[in-house]
Amino acid sequence: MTVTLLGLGLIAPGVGDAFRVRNLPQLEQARPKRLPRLEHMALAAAQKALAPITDLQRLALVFGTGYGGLTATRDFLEGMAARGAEFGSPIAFQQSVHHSPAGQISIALGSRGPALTTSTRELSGESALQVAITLLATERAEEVLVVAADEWTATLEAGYRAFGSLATEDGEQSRRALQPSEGAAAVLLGKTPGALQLEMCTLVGHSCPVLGFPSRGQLRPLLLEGARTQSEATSVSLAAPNADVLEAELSVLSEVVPAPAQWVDTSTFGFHPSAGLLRVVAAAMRIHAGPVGSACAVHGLALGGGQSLTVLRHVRA
Amino acid sequence: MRGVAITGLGIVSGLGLGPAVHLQALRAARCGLRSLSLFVLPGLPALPVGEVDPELVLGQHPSRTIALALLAARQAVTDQELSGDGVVAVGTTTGGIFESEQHYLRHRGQGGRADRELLRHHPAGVLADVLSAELKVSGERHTFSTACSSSANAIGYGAACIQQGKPWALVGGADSLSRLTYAGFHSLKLLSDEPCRPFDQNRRGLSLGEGAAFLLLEDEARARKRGASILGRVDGWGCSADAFHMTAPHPEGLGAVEAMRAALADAGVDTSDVDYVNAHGTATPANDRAEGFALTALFKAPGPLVSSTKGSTGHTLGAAGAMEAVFCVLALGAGFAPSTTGLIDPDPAIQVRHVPPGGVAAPLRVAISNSFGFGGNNASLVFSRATQ
Repeated sequence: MTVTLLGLGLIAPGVGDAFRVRNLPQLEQARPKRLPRLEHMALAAAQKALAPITDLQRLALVFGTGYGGLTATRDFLEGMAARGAEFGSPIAFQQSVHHSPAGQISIALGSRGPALTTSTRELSGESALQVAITLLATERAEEVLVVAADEWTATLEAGYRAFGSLATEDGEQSRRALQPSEGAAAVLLGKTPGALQLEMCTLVGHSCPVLGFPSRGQLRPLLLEGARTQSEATSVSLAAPNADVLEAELSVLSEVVPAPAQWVDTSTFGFHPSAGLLRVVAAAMRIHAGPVGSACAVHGLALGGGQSLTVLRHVRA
Repeated sequence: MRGVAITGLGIVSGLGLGPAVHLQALRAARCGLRSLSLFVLPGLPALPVGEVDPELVLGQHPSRTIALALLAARQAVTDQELSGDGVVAVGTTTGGIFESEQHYLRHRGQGGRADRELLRHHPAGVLADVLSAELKVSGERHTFSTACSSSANAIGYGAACIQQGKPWALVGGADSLSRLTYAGFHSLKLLSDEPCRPFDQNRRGLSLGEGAAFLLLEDEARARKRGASILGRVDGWGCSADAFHMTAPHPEGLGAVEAMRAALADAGVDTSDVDYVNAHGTATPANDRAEGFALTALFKAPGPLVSSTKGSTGHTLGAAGAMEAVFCVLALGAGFAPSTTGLIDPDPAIQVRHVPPGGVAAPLRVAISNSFGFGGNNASLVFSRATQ
């Protein structure tokens, strides 16, 4: 089965915006009027990816998010703490549900096909891609809109800090420091021919501490497969969540001759559970701008041991 | 969908631990709902909930949801063969919130390392990671978080992966009780002050529960080759979106009809082949009525036997789909349709064929399990009896 990328959407922090999406784009529809930030980013990315010919009513949707509506979760708990358990906000409660953005997108688009949400840590976007491919392969959908979104919150950053996952207070950057960020991406997948093909999306799991990334030895086989099995026009987008992991990835790629072109998008997109899908969209844009035959293997890594490889290729349409 | 065998089952709920205990409880129409004792929330009453026996959870894992998941998943994989790269697909709505909400309520977003262990297992996806590590299985991991249909979708996805050539899939779900969900459903005015009474005209809302259930799915040829006992089959998975409202179902149950239709088409069976429906049946006025309309629209009278087991377990949110899948497999295997605990006076607006009180012995061949969630999300699964 050929899987084609029919549309792309990207909502990312701007240059100099300190890894926050400062200017949320205007949504194309007036309804719903007051969406929370996470839903707004997700719907904006979705609308960018939709091709005009899409049959919205039959469209399937797979949404990926690592943390869901953290702001809403915090708001609900804050209401409980500040005013009493009987005063939790019903709106915040419903928005705290991970599937809430998917529900909002279904309502906004009027789509009644399958609507799923995956929450697979820092591979939430890649997991959503994999689920979407299965929906296409098993004839459960003709087109699937894959969306992934995560928001930055002060509560989340405090959590990272509690585990020493941010830069130390004296400014010395730890090699394991993460750069928390936010953003959304969307990919419309279908089976009709097109210029951008998704050749492979593989997820594997390694035995790892809950807050640890796979080791060099663990990540090596799949990353090498991605770098070696493609043509000379291959590039690799590295997961690079921190300096230690980047070094491990580069060390593995040094085994490949000739060395593929390498992209490190972490400095643009930062670290969040949906960043993998942002990197997939960025890779698709790059190879689409390049010659026919260009390919990119997008490498993903998650805390807890997840690893993914997504291979895209620019083909003659 | 063909050739997806169920070769392992595990379950824990307010009714106890293990498939045999649950079958016995369903035969006895036992209600596992008791006044909440897991936590105290000043200002809110301790309503009936399906709370797991603390002795069962003790020492299993620092995260209550993961502890529940481990209890059930270990049963499902005991004496099984899980070589090769399979799939671990789990469903949960709130993951590790039971611990992380304690951190927030104690520290209210302040920095520092105090009690940081309460945060370690917060992300929903941690569940699949820890399960894979503890059970020493490799393969792709997915966590579905589609509210109350989470684990039904995990099962459907795992079955689809078997269909696509994966050797095995460990599928299921877990959710613990939590302050967030208890106060949240209270804020929506959906909690009943008595044990819930699905489909009853005097129903007063839902009762929450907690628990976990897991199924081991295998390619049937592989299972037969290794001589595994086949407990049942997953034959169909259908899902849909209402595209109607964030918390209310479509009043005519249109999305529910579509999910059931898709699942039946996937299974290649007709509505007349269905003997039993394990309904979503939460006991909220809107949900029960919408599902009743959907069942009436889809099935010609008299239709299949229908019951909701939430009167026995409470609504276990992300775990509900998997728990009710286990109940379907047990019902098919035992030839026994469980009744709806708490149903005394059926709502006359819901014209379905309720299982008589106390349950009924019947040669069940095909069953449907419905799971519907926030955001207008609908999932239906079709199961069939094992034939050796």
